[in-house]
Amino acid sequence: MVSDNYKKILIVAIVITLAIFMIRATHLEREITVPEIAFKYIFTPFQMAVVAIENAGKSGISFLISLKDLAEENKKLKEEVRQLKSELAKMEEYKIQNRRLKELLQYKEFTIDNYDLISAGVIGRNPSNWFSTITINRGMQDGIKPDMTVLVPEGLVGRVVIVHSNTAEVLLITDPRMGVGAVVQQTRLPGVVRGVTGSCERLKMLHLPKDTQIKRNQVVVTSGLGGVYPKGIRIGRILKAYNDPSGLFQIAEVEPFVDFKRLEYVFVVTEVYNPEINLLEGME
Amino acid sequence: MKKLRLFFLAFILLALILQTTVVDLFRVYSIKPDLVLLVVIFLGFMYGKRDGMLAGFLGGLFSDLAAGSYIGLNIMSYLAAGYLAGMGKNNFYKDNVFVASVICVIGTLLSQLVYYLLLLFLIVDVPVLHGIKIIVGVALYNGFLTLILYRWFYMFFISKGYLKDVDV
Repeated sequence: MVSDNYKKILIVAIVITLAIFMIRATHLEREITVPEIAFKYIFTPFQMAVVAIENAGKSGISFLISLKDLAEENKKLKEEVRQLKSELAKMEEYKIQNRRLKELLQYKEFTIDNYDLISAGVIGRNPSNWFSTITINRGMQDGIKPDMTVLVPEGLVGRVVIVHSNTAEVLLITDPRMGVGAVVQQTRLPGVVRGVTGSCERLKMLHLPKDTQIKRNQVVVTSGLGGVYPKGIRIGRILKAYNDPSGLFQIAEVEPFVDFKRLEYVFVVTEVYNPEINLLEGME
Repeated sequence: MKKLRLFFLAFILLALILQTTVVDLFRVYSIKPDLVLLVVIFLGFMYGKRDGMLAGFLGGLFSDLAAGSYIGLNIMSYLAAGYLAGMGKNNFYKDNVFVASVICVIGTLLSQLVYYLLLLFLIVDVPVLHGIKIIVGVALYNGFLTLILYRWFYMFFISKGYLKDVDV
């Protein structure tokens, strides 16, 4: 009986040791193995089917909701069109003036033309509450490579970490394993933005100098340091700042601009034509 | 018996597909339920330690493969939950949803605690308060879902004739 118990303990100890070894060996940034490729190959079509149903359901619901308020919305829109037409004429004037001033300042503006983008649909999410990754329906065959930046018009989403032939895994900025070099847009204070475990609505900006004033609603953008993310992509807005436990730096709580719960489509940056573009002033 | 194992597999895969697609829409205070773990605990509670561990291994392996990193994290945490739920097989009434709900809360607490401890071992920075929030949050969410889903799940296996030895 005693030897039986020892046997069981020994087996459990061996299993735990092997599992820990395997967990450590299978971190995010590594070569993917054949079983993983095979699993993704079989599993992805089912995810795609469910996501297609989910999206169709969402469209149907929003269509039904919109029907209810259609007449009122139509009236509002007509009024808005009238207003916008008059503003458009003014804008044209400003545009010409703006272009002339930019030429004078040799200012480089952020436009989507500076990037080569591939659009991708989100077909899967990390099953656990602890990590934040998504699976997109673009892969090696579409020219996707590890470390490519992923964004949406609202701001930064994350970076590609694993690439399969038709899909790719994207590490979101809300993941605790993620660190993004960032600056506060208004004051140029540098720091590192990190994800918070179990939260898709909060980020932390670390290593902010202590003797500086950080205000609510200041915007945080990528700094371009580290070479992974292009400079100037919007990340979020500061909610509050407090001293870190060491007392040497400040930590800012940041609300991301991207709604990670409802992420359906993203853009992958496949090429940056001018990595030195300074977008910091361009994204007010 | 082979057919029963196929049902195990089918439920685990169905739960995983939903977990990796639509479940994110149902986050409450950033917490989402763990449907795969729910199935593992249900199966462990209905069929005992051995089957609970089998379901835990399969559920954990597929979840890890779907997540794409740290293969073994979910296997270990689901194995623990499957084993614990299996211990309840001969000690509690399986047709009582409230008992199942309590088993599910305890199983989820254990599973998420194992996950958290392994994360610490991997040096993934998880503040204690955030860890507690996730562990307790998922346990309560899963416990609540058990009240809704367990009866249906249990009756499915009864109707297929795979739970004959149970006092109904």
